[in-house]
Amino acid sequence: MSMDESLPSNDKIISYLDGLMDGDERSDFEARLRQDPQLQQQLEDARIAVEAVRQFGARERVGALHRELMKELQTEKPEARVINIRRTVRYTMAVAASVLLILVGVQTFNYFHNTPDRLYNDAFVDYSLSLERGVTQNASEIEAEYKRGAYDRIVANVNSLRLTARDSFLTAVSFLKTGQTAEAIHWLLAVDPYSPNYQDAQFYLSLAYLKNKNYKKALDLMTGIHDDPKHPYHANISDALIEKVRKLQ
Amino acid sequence: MAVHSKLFTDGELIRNLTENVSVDDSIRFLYRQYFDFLKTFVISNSGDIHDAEDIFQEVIISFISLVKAGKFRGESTVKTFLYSINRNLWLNELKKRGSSQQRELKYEHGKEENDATVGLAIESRETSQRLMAAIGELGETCKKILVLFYFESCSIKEILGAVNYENEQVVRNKKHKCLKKLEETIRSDKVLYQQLKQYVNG
Repeated sequence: MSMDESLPSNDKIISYLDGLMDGDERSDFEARLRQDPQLQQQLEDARIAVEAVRQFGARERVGALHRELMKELQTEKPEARVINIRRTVRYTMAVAASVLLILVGVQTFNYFHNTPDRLYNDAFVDYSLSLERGVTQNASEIEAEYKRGAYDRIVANVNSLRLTARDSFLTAVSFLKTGQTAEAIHWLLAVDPYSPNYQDAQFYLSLAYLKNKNYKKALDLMTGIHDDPKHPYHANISDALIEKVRKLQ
Repeated sequence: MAVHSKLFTDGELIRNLTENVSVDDSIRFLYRQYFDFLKTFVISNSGDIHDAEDIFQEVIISFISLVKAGKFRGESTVKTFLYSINRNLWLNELKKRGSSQQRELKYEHGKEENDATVGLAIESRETSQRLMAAIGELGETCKKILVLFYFESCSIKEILGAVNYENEQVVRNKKHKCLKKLEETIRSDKVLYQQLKQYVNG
């Protein structure tokens, strides 16, 4: 009998891993496990795969709640600040005029100079489905919503477990279009490198990082796109844009 | 508007996450209880509110993964443990961003911890894209079956209700094939394999 034939089947290894073996069967399996390095390796590989699923599950679950909770925590902030404003109203009023002047100055300065938002708006190109294909019977619900411009509805109803790679990408762009940059980054990072939308995702991720003032990451991606003449967004990342982002650092 | 929130002790949180009970409520509790505390570290060390939010999301993902892998044994409080993960993730992020921000954090270097468990969180974040790619190769049905069984702790009978298969045995066979396929994909990515191996054995 060869080594492979003497090994328990994959089903048995998984039954052991899932805790489905009864007493005797489990004892026999464990006795064999102690003496068989190949079986130990197979069991370890199965455990590693299960760990991957658990880490993925944690990412999915937290990702699904993150936006809701951040919104909740942000809406609670102003109430907490009212008390502080009342307590410090005299001091606040005393500096209000100065702050206003500074703000006006900053706004004026920003108008004539680079800001991440301005660069983002200049570089942003709309991702349109209309040129690829119409909304057909085969189009997903998200594709149809995207085509209608219902970005708010896409991000409100997102359930990542049910999404295809393409739907995940469209969800990411929808987060970007609704101004939820941190969520957009999360979804863009999750776009499968083997997905047809991976290069689209790289471009939009670079813009999302720019908007999020994460200039180092934005530049890394932009430089990669700029240096690759075959990249579909090569022409969208100019020397001037890279230089402007560099100055923001 | 005040938000009604369940309160959990550290022990209840760990049990909930380990046994998959009230997981969403536990995550909500972690956000409401610890976000303001942890964001302060990021914001006072060259980060902004968006950085704080991103890092906090990673902190919670890592915390859940570490608890589920049995790596958090209650030797410190949940608050201290989350603080360590948050601090290490943010310092690592600053290192990646460049030297100017790193210089501002010189005073922090003396406080570096050699905590292997918290170090896993950094590696987990670094390899998250590889993880998503590996799971992405499975296809939607495989992904759903494996997540429902191994993360949500659903029974095969419950999974049968969520997928379009004839009976429980078909679901069971499919689950085995999906896991095998995932094993092969992960074996072909040495970086991801080693990172996950540390969770399993480390």
